[in-house]
Amino acid sequence: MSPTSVPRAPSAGAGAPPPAIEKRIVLDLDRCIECNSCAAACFLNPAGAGPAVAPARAGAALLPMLCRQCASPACVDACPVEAMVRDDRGVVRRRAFRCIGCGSCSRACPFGVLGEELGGLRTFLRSKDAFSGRLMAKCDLCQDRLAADPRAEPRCVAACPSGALRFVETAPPAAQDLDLLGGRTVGQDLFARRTR
Amino acid sequence: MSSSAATAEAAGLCTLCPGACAMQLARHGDFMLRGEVPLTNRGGLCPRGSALGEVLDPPSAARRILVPQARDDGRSVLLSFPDAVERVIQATAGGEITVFLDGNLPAEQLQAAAAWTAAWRNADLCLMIEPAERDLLIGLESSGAPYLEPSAWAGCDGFLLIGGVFEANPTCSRRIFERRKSDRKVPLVVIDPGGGAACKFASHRAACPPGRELAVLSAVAIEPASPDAPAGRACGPAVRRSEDSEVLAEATLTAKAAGAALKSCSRLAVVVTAEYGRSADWAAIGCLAGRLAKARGGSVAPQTSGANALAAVRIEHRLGTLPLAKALLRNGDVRVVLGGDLAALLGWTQEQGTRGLAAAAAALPNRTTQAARIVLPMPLPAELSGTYLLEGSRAVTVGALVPPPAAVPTPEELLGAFARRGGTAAPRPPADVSGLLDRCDCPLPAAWPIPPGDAEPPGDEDLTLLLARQGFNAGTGEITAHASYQTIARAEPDVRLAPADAHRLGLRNLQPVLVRSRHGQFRGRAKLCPTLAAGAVVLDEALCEARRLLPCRLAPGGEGLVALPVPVTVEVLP
Repeated sequence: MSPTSVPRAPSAGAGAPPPAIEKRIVLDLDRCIECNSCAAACFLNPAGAGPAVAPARAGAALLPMLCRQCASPACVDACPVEAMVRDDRGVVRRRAFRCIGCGSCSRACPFGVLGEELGGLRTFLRSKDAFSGRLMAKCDLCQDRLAADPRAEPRCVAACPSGALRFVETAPPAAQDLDLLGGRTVGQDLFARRTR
Repeated sequence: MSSSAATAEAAGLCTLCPGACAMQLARHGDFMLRGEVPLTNRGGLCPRGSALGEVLDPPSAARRILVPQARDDGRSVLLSFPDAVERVIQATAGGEITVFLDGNLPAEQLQAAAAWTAAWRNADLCLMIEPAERDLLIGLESSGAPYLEPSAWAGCDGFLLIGGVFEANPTCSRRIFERRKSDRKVPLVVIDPGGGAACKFASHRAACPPGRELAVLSAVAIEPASPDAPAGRACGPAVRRSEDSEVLAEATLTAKAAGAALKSCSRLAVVVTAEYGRSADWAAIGCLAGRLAKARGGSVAPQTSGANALAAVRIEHRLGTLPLAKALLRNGDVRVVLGGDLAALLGWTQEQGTRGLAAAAAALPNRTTQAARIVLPMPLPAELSGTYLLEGSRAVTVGALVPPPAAVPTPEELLGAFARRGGTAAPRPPADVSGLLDRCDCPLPAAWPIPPGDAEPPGDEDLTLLLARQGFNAGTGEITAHASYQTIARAEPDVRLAPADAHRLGLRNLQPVLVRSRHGQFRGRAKLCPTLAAGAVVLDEALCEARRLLPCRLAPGGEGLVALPVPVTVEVLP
């Protein structure tokens, strides 16, 4: 199949409001024990999507870097071959058969979660062995699991032993009664304060 | 490969620690078997559990099943299984044989092995577990403290954490966080000279110099003593040493605050892990921790590196199998190691660890199988079904995630083959294993605590080397060292240093360094660790090079195995 005949994944068309993602992963910094369970579960993902969660060093800490599934994803705009798309559910996905591994998405990402090197872990490495070696790893919230069971969680969340990673509705924290220990979240509004 | 090809093959429990995390296997087509995280979080699955799933896959790069072979003049010769058994029996030459069996196998396997060695006149059995963990568990058993049941965590009104418990069993962190979420005033006291992850979350951290956990715990226990809570005093005479007074004088401020925070607890949970190479006091620490918990109406939750260490201690006590130290003292015997990596466990050099070693069986190649004259295959723990003491001391029957590969005998079959070839008739089938797993009244040996002996005094520029658990690797890394994620993500291991020491040495974060003790050297990259007190340097205990820097030594009379912190220098590499 030639690249031109590949159908585009359903994404927000021009003028249409961007689809809202239903659930996203949040990280509670006050629970992360830096055990790397999330990264290991993602790396050994049997679906073969590639290691999309990697620990990154923030000073002395080693914290997981996760795609935030942006409403206006810079990676989608930057991709020259339309491998990055935002689907009907608001999930930013990589189409493996189109990706040429040029790294444009990595450089465009304002949060640095698509980096080739994250905290010493080469996110390309497994791709080099298994595929063309020119693929960007991209978190798709483990759509293979969600397709099998709507109650399922992404692997990183299901593997998190301390409960630091949570797969939550994208409603505002107050509406969910999201009571975090220190009120610090990543993936939600960074300036949100604790509700209690 | 499409994900729809994946079908859940088996669901079970990870048996690499007592956390009892759920895990399952997924098969892709006919050839690729992988560990898979359950669809929803049922306790989590740490990198060790993920690695276990990967090494179960026989054709994977991570799993290379050993085949029976002999090393003749440095060359490997493949053997049939009967020939390998014959060679092992020939090696004993009718003399005594000591069988070292991995103590973290299912209880039925341990019981059957004990039955075979009891029937075999020439043989003795030793159940191998971490020496420090064995001491700790004996101390906890002797204290009479109850073990913390899974449902009881939510009712605790205080936590005392000793050692890197979040690394030993990451799942226990969730229960503590959940309890503190419901009541933020619940005190969380941490005693960990290695500056583990729990230190970040502590409400009170008792300062603890390397190797002085017992003295600091005594200070925490004794300080708030009142007539109705005499925990510290009750255990005092058994644990006090002359140098304690010096430490108590130096570290009392933080210990007093920690003790005061726990003073009003009526359901105290003491979560403890025995760290290799930190101290000779683990039996006394276990006894004191247990008595403290008991005095405060609470329970203890030991976090061991294997899932069945507590069962092995109880079976050893009931069936009279040899403790590891006493087994190692029997120099005239021929040794056979079944499962486990004896050389790595003790941090011994190949020459020390393989003296008298005739044969070694293992699921994956390790330092012991590399040195053995005859090598045999063994199943992985997840390929054996049986009873484990998990989550407290609950006996749980765990099914095998997959059956062992066809050509791989179980430990019972292996030992039975040796014994039969040695002229032993099959013993009567052992009784139900549950009678062996009840709590035993292990008395503390009279010689405890073991005198520190020839501890090396540090020089002016020296740091003290400590080893610490990692959520990343299991035990000595016997299984996880073969996993692809561990191999790639930690290609250059971390050397944790306090920022003050790094500044003094002119070190930056992630800079390559060389750690040198009189036993050897180790290359890694510096990781600045703000929770680590100045004066200590911490390595991952799962790295066999790290254990070689502070090897175990036998205490006089075979009373125990001791590894103490050693002084090291840290050099900055270009």
